[in-house]
Parts: sequence; C-alpha cells; structure tokens
Amino acid sequence: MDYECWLLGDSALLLRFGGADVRSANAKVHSAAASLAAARLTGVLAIAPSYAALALTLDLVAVDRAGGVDLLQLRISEVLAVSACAQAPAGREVVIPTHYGGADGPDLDAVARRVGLSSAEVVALHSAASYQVAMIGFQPGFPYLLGLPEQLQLPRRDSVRAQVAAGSVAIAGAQAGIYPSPSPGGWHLLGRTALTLFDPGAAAPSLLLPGDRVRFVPVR
Amino acid sequence: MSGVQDAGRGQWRSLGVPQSGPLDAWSHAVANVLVGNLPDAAAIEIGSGRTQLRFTEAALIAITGARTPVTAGSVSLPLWRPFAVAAGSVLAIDPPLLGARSYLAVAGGLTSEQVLGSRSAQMRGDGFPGLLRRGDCLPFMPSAIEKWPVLAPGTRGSAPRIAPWWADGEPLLDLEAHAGLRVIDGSDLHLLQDRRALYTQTFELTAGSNRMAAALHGEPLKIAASASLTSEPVVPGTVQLPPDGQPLILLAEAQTVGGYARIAHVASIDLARLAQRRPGSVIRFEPISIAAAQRLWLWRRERLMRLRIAALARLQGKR
Repeated sequence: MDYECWLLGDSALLLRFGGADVRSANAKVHSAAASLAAARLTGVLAIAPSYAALALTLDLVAVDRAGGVDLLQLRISEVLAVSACAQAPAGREVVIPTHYGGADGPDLDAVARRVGLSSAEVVALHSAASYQVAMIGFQPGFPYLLGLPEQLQLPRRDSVRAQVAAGSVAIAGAQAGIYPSPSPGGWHLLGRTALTLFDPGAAAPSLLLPGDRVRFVPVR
Repeated sequence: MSGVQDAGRGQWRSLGVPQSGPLDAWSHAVANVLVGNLPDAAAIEIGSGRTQLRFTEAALIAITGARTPVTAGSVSLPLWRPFAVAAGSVLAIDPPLLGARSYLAVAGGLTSEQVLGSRSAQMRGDGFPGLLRRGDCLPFMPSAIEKWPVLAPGTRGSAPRIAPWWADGEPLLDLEAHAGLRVIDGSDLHLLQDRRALYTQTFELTAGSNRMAAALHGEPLKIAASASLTSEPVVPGTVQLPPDGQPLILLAEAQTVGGYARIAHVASIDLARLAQRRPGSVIRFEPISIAAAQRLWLWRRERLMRLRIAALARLQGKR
C-alpha cells in the first residue's frame, strides 16, 4: 500500500494515502487502520483515521524501549505491505431514521431552492445515497460522511448558527454529517434523527465507527 | 477555570474524543509523585483566581506549577514540597504571582467519576466531567496517608506538617525568562510565503485562549492563497494557521481533526511552559529537530522517574 509518512510533532505519526478519489483513499485508510490495530505495535496509543490520512499517537518512552521511531516506521511499512493484499473491512451498515424539514430541518427548503429541486426531491436524493463514515471528529461521535450526491453539494451557510440541535442531519460541500450534541454549526440542516449519536457513559460510546456505511430513512 | 485532570482519553481519538489531561503535564506529574502517586493520577488543575479548599479528612498534599501564595489560616505553605493537613483545614490558593496554573495532588489520588476511562474534566461537559464549581465535593482515598507515617497529619485543628524535602521542578517551566517555544516543522509549513517569519516575529497570547487552544496575535502570517486543505488529524501542540494568519496552538482539549494549515508542532516538553504563560505574554518560536525534541521528552521522563524514586524513598522514611 502506497503512503507517505510524516511526523506530526514529536509524538505522533501521520500516514497519508493517495487514490483516484477521496473515497478510494479513505478505503485505504480504514484498511490500514484495521491492519495496524491488529498488529498491536508497541508504543502506539491510538490510531485515528481521517479522509486520506491516519494518525498514530505514540508513547515515546515505550517506542524508544522497543527500538525507536525509525524501527516503528519500518514495522508499519511491513504491516502495510502485507495488508495491501487484504480487503478493507466491510464496516457495518447503520440506518438513521430522519425526520426531514420543518423545525428539524430548517434549511431543507432553502437548499431545494438553491439546487433547483423540490424539497421532496432533495429528501429522495439524500436518503437514496449510501454513505461511508470517512472519519469522526469536530465533536465526539460526529461522523464525516462521504457519498453526498453531487446535485446536493453546496458551500457552507454564510452565517454560523449559534446553536444546532443534537441529532441534526446536515450537509456542507461534498460532506454530510450528523451533530451528536448541541453546538454552533455552519452546515445546512436538512432534518433530525432521534438516535443518540454519542453517549460517553455507554460501553460502546459512538453509534457510528470510522468505516461504517450509513443510510438515511425518512420518517414522519 | 479549574478541574480534575488525569492522563485523559487519548485512546478514544478515533471517535473524535478530545484527549484532555493537564495543560502543564510536568507540574501535574511532579505533584503526584511528591505524594507517592503514579504520575498521571487524578489531581486538580487550578486556573487563576482565588481558590479555597476545605479538607473534611486529613490529607497529604503537594502543590506545584505557577508561583502562587498558598496558606492554611496564618501558615504559609510551600510549593513543590509535600505537606500533611489535618481534617477541617482550609487551604487558600491565591492568584499566581508568576505563571498561570497550579496543580494540587492528594495522596491516593482523587476518585471522582470516570467517563471513558478518565476523570478528566472538559470545558464543554457533553456527558464528561465538567469544570469545578463552588461547592463541589471531590472524593479521595483518605486511607492513603496511612502508608506514609513519616508525614502523618496532626489531629483536627493542628497546623500543617511540612516535609523537610522538595522537588526542584520549577526551572523546566521557564516562568521568568520566557524563552522561545521550540517547534518542529509542520507538513504545511511550505505554504507560508515567508517561512522565516514564523521564527523572526513575535506573537502575543490572547485572552481568547482556553484549554482547547492558545490563540496568538501578531503580524499576520501570509499563506499561499490557493491552499485548500482536507481535514486531517491534529494533536496537542499542533500550530494551525487559519486564513486570518493568526496562529492557534492546539492544547490538551483540542478537537482531533483540523482543516487549517498545520505549519508547526510545539515540542511536547514545551507545552508545560506554554501552559504557564498568561494572556499578554510574548510568544516566540524557535526551530528544533524531531530527534532533539524526542530526546528532550525522554530526558524529562527520566527526571520524573528519578524524582519518583527519591520521593518514595523519603515517604518510606529512608534517607
């Protein structure tokens, strides 16, 4: 698997993956993350995927005892050379029941006007697509989803809302996402789900994991 | 802004959970080892502002970090040096004279609520422990002091007993000279129109700084206009450059991914120094190689382990 290795400061590595498009690069990221997690490399504290890169945060003392950062980079290249032949993990499919429009999706009608469709067509397009959780960030449990149909791709809102409700289903640029908890936000809000995206007290705190596939299902 | 901090939640980065943990991890660790704890036991990070703590049980304590006056009644108490207080004692921690935050560790460690494996507070609660408020009650293991009879507290009402030993931990914080923060090149450094500007100009730490980021202000750094970046992982210490050209240094509670140019990373050892700067303080950057930054971090760890061995020997009554 081809990648570039950067040092993200003195205690983390950043592996960047290329690809024909962001979706294929992201598939490599999840495949590499799974292989590296399975390899349980000494001194690696966490593996955090993003669109086209993943970060390995390090316990420098443990890495040093195990032979140093250069040796760790060599180990990583060995693990990824083998995993190049392996299939990316399939990821689970998670269905997100979504109430579109109204107070739950205050931007639905404006988005429809801007892209020249009816609100019902926007809902149909958004809920017909299959999405992949490219990464989780911004807030605990906030999924950055790849797979938004091109017709729905718009720049962010001109103004940032001071308060976006938890569960809001949103789009911006080529991205789709769901706000786990109330926060300021500049994305277009199409609807809202009643599911809890993130519960820090739960054994499995995040509803979605990097690499999962997501579908939105309209509910009344 | 004060809260309980331990090692934080670094293992949950893939779910977008901020790491948290102390901003000045050096002072936090030294306070812990002085009272016989593991370096990353839960202790209190105390922001500027007068703080009073009433101990309902006797406790063995150490306070480190900023140079701040600490008193119990009329008794002035030392920093970087353990002492035992009797049940009913009230400690007053005044705003720092130098530096920005103090760390108070209690023998046995605080046993407040754990969420995702950590007791660390977050500025925005969201189901995680929050910052401390007046009237909060913090549990700890009162039996821990029985392990260390050499520093047994007196009975209720008696004055604190101060250990005749201490740790020389303050020099690592550079509270007075304010040397440049040592930084490693970031992967987007080449986007700066003038790379040297990062090292030649000065910035001011602004009042908009918090546990998520140190916000700097200075002559804006100019960046190649076409730079459009995808969000990528960031870590505490990453120096991001938003379009306004004013650098943000990400700290313990920063989000896990960022979309601004990553122009540099502060060497881990210097994050403790940064944590002790106050708004208005002048910040300069100096380049350091990754290898040198990593050696400094390993050296720091060795110093901490030596301190721990020495502190335990004293607590056990060995000379």
